[in-house]
Amino acid sequence: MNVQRMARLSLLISLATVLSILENQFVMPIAPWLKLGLANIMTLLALQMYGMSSAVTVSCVRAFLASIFGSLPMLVFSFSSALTSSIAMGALYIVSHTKISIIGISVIGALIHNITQLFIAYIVLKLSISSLLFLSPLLIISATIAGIITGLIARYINSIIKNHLIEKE
Amino acid sequence: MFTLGDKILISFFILLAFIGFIFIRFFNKNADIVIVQVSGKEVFRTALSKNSRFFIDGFIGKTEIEIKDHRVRILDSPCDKKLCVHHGWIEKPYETIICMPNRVTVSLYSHKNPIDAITR
Repeated sequence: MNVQRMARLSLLISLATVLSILENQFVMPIAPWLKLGLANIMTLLALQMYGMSSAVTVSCVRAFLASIFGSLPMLVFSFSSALTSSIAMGALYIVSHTKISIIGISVIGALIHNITQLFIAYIVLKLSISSLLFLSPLLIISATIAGIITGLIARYINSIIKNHLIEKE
Repeated sequence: MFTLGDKILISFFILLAFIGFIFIRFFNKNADIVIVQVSGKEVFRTALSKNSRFFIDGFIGKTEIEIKDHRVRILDSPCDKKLCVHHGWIEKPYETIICMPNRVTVSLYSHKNPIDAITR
């Protein structure tokens, strides 16, 4: 791993950690069930810049750090959903990044994140299958909205970074 | 901006969610039992018809729950984000308030629905 890549990844990780902790301080006033997952922007940037393994690294280290400095009881939950969603996004990026853009990848990532959280809630809290089914439409719609928003932001930032790098070189 | 794949993906999920919402609307009758679980174990069960307020010992502290006018909500919780408090009132069967940090779930069920016997 070269030095430039390491420096950029650590920058992304620190930004993601700050975004994650900041986002946890506020609740959306109109829609408390909608969590944007702004830290996911940094995962998407790492995915576009350096590929799958870097995205998984950024996502998992971010989940770990944000839980340590934020709310420790949630460590297991946020870590596992960060792992599954970043692996899913990385795999999708490798398989079809010509057909599905970063927005679609972001939507899938948000969805896998929500499904993992629901699955863990199902195991830990022993929810009944019927309440699981009744929660899922809301989780699907919130993941879609959050995925589109973070995907758009990630695309915008990525285009700025690319232009800037081309100008420099 | 959005590729064809994106559009198909997004419209599929929105459609799926809407079918789910319509199914819930169509299916639901009235709930009559409140069941409170902590870490998956049932700790409290009561009828939705009587107004009351009570405390439940959760994983990190006490959660206050209020039942009023055939609806139930979490009044106060020791967790950070208080998502469960923001969730507000629930009144239909199978609706559930989840408080992940405190491991508390408040679910509604209906006596008349035969599905209860299968899934619970």
